[in-house]
Amino acid sequence: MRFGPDFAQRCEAFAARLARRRVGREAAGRASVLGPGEEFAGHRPYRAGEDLRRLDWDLYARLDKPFVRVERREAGERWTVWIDRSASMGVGPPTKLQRAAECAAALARVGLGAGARVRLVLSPGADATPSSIVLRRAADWGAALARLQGVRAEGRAGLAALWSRERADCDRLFGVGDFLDGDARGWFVHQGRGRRLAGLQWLAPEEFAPRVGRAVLIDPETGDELPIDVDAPLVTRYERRLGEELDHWRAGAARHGARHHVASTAREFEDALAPLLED
Amino acid sequence: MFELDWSRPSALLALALPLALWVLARRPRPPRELATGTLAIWRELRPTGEPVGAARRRGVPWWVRFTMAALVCGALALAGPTPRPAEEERWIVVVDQRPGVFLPWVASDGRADERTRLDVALDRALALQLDPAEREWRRYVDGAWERATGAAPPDAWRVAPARPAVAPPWSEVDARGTLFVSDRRVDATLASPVWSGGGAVEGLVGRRGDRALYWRGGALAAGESLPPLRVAIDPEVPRELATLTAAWARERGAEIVAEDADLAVRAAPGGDGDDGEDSQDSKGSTGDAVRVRGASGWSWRGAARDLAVPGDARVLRRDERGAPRLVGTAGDLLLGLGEPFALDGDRRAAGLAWIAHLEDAVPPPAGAVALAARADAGEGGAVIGPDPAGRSAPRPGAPFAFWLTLGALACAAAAARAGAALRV
Repeated sequence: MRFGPDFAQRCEAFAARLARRRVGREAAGRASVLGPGEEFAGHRPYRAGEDLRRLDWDLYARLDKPFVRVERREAGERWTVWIDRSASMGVGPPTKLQRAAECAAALARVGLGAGARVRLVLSPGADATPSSIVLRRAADWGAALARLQGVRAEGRAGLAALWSRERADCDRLFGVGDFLDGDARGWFVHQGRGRRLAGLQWLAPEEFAPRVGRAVLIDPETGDELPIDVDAPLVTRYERRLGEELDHWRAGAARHGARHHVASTAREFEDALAPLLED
Repeated sequence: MFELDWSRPSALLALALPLALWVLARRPRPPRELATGTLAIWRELRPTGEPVGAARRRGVPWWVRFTMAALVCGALALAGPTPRPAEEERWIVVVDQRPGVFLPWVASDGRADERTRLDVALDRALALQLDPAEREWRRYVDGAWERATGAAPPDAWRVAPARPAVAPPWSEVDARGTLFVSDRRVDATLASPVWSGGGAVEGLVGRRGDRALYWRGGALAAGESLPPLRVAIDPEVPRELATLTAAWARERGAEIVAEDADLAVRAAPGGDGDDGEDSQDSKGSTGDAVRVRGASGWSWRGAARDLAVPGDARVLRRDERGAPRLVGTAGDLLLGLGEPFALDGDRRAAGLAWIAHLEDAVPPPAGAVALAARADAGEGGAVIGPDPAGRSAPRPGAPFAFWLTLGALACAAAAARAGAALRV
């Protein structure tokens, strides 16, 4: 798993784009996931791309340096991103783990930019316990990227291992994985009591649209094999069944007031992540 | 159907490409292994999977078939096919095979040549610079046309056939673009006669009684004794005619044999009148009483037998309705009448008429050539008439390369479409 050379730049641009849209929505009178809080918490340096209307002009006049106002809620938020690193995330290319790690890093960048404290939690994979990366300042982001780059898809424990064992002690909880290994109720139970839940379900292109022909399908987590002759009628039935599975997650999210988005790894992380943060 | 010429025949080697593609597409290959996170769903749909072997031979997918078709069309188009001149547009050479053409050719000064009259005539025909060079050769033996193509006739045609041939039906093939090759000039309306000519060649001309008959010193002379004539009489021949035949054979000192005869007297097989098919030349149903009348009031009356006329046979007698009732070649008489049979009118004349046919049907001894054929054939020559062009309606030129290229493009498009459809 490696980030591209322009990945950091893409994350900056993505965060700036979200910020611009947030201001647009505020001007239109709509709330936002990253919407402003009501209580003033302090200032932070202005970053390129941010809306100039958020600039504290008085402070700028006095200090001759640009600062923006930070409201209490945004500043004090705690974001947690659960990342599935089980072996099934190695399916691709591009692998699901690649996209999940990109999303986690981008979420961290956006959260830090909004003044939130971000915690990235990797599912146990082949290890006994999950590992986590805590980011309090923007400076922590580079180190987090380096750690994410060392992650490999392995083991059987995915997101379900996190939502069944981990405490979701945060304001916003993101789940990034293939959501193929657990009961939806275990995930949605974390929604509510001031916590907002958002799931991003990645599937590989061949999982969406399998090719016809003979194949031996292998479950990377269990090693189980299934020799099968895939023909067009079987593909149709598969797609229908997969559609039911995905609809189950979407319906559960809607029922619980959470968010859920499904994407193919053929798409870029920005396209998949934006709907979770902008809607 | 017509044949093709290729302007770039080496391009046909490209046909190996689709062949190689076919072999590659058919080679056994193990199934691909694919990791997936949705195995549970596949198990729902096919709980036990497929009983597939590790290396089953694969069917050829449609995109490969279309690609192969495109390659075949492309290779053929590249080779530049053009329609070969139709058969009707070639020169047709009709080669006489009668015994006289195989006599040695004798020049006007009496000098004999090692070549036969036919060799000389063919050399003359081959020396003609006629376009197109491709020829169709025809000869008439055993009552049927035999054909060959090429620049020259088969060598076997320069040797007399085992069974002496009769004159070809020249009128059937008297058309423009046709050469008649013989030892004497053949009358033709549109065809072009080429003949060898040649001086008289004395020798055996036939038989007289039980002796060979020679043409020597300008006169006919009896030669050595010949073996007794062997005559076979078919049991189907009406009794009266069989009796006459046997009497005639005894008178000539001939032997009556069952097979391997010099002269066979046969009757067409009888039918029940329902299942037999009439030949084109016969009229009236099998079994009907028909009558063959002679000039002096005699007649043969008998039950009609379905009689097919061999190609080299002559019709010797017809019944009152015009159907052939007696046909013959040298050494063979075939009768289209059966029992009940009777000689009517002047019975003696009726019997003599039959015996005259027997005499005529006696085959000449081996090597005999008719006196007329041995006679002086005069000077050789050739009269070239119209060429084959226009013998048939011109065939519209088919732009093969264009259509093949179009086919190749269509197949390539179909292959691309079929390949894209693999991802459903």
